[in-house]
Amino acid sequence: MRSLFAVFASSVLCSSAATGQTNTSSATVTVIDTDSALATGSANLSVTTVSITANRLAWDPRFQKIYLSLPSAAGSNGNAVQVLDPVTGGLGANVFAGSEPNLLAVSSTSKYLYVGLNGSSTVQRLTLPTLETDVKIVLGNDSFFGPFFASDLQASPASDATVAVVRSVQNTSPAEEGGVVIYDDASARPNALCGFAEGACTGNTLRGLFNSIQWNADASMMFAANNEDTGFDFYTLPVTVSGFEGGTDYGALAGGFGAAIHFDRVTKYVYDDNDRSLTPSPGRGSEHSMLLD
Amino acid sequence: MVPDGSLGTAFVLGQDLSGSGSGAYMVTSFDMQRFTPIATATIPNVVGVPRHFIRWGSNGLAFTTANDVTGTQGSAVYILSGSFVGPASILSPAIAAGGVVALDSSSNTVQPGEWTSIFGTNLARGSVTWNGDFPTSLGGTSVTVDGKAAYLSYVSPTQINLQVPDDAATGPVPVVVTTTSGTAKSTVILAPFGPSLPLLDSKHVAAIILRSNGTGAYGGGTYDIVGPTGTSLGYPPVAAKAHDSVTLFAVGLGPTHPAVPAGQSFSGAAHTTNPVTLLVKNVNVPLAFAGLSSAGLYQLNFTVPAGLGSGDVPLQVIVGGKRTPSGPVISLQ
Repeated sequence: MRSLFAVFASSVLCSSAATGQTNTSSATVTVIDTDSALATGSANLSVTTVSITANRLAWDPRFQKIYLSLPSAAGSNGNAVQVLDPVTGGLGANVFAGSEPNLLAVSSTSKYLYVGLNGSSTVQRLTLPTLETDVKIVLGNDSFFGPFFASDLQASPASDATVAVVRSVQNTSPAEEGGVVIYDDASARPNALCGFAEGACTGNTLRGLFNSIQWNADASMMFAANNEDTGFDFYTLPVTVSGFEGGTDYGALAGGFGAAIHFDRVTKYVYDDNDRSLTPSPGRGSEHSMLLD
Repeated sequence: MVPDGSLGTAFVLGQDLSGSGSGAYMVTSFDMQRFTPIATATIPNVVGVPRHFIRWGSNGLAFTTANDVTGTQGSAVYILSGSFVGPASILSPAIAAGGVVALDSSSNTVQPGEWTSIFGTNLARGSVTWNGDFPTSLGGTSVTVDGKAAYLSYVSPTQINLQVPDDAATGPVPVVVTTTSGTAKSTVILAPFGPSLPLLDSKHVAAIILRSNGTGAYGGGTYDIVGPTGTSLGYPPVAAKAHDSVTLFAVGLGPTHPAVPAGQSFSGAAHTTNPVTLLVKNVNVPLAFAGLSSAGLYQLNFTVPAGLGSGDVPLQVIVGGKRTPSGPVISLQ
């Protein structure tokens, strides 16, 4: 039986001149005593505000830095990757990355930072920690809708050289017209996931909308969610060296419009931005159940 | 939202209706096992609309903001850190004094393989029951007895039920409960015997009357549950009468043949290697069988003799010179 999830709570995450000013304050913390055993009353949370225009952030656990993608709207420091020390709030190196950097992904051992460049239909790879330019992945274009940009970008947990890219087009609905492609360095694996109406695609036969993607812990599987139409599909997609090999579509399981998915390596569950969890373990077949089942 | 299984916590950034339009956003932490909120942190005067939210380090969160739809608010990066994010937001576990006891017993002497309870506080983040798979970690909680991993059947903030691992040691040994918030230590006495009688409530022993004629209320007519007449237990048990064939359940009755290792399922009959005495109302009742029938659970088969009276009568089990604690009763009619 396929069932949906427990609901955490309702929340909405909606969707720019770099000055680098930093202010520190404290948040007001309230402990919710739903169970006396969980009450603490001693939690604290400090808030540091850095006045800088950034699209995305990526945490680098090896070098203990946050990387920011700065759009052109950030002014003279824009179109760049900015290093931020989250402990001090201090800004570090600012390195030109290309046109309109947006999505960021740190590779499995922090060897590379992948940067989606929305203005040039590419993904630029930078070496870490120096942020030197490395290979450039050309995303191509749709013959009708135009150039692709990376609407999701996920580095493989198994290889620094591998990244998966959801290719979308601007100003079109649905936007995911380029499917999902796995790249090793700049080489695309042949079996891609085809885009929503991608006529020339000869990759995996599974068609759909693959808007939000996540690797499993060993990169043998990818999970995807359709958050662009009311099918709200959730996909489990076996991955081989050739790319995607088949897959399963669980309709109406994903979290809704715009809801991204997040895989947790400890629990092995997938969570979505509507605060629910999925049990996508292949060993459990098609079962998707509440976490507390 | 950002899940962090290593903390057992998911963090959600959002805004409730009261904060709408004010620039006040909330980060709420949720227990990933129980799906219940733990705490909220209100971040006032956020410039712009939150756009991308991440976890960093051992106790950090961060998010970017972008202009709102009017394009007038500006944008910034917010770096959050503190115990709100770390595991310290949950209190450390503690084991009550004398809180490691045989199942439904106040005795802190147990044998390897015995079902045992630990009582205390913050022993787990929520109530989780096993799937019959003898896990050594359940709901983020694990237990060692004399340094060996115990098998957990149930965890909750105030109680853990476990099967003691096999161990050749005797005497006091350490018991350590570990959760995501810390460890708690106590001791238990390991011995060859630790007899105790599982209870249906605070005093009635767990026992069934076998119904070979199919008239029982449970098990497809094969048995009734022994208990006081009425519904005080929440279900209709039956008081046993003379000549009824009764199976009484027990734990800690010592070695068996064959030996049954802890931590794995068992179905069969492994009889005790030491004599077992059953006293009902201080009358020695002959046993047709005494031994393990499933993992850690012994059963004593006997026929209720005449002349024991009616109502709740005391019973005790003696094995290896050890008695089950006084107090348990069996209902007779």
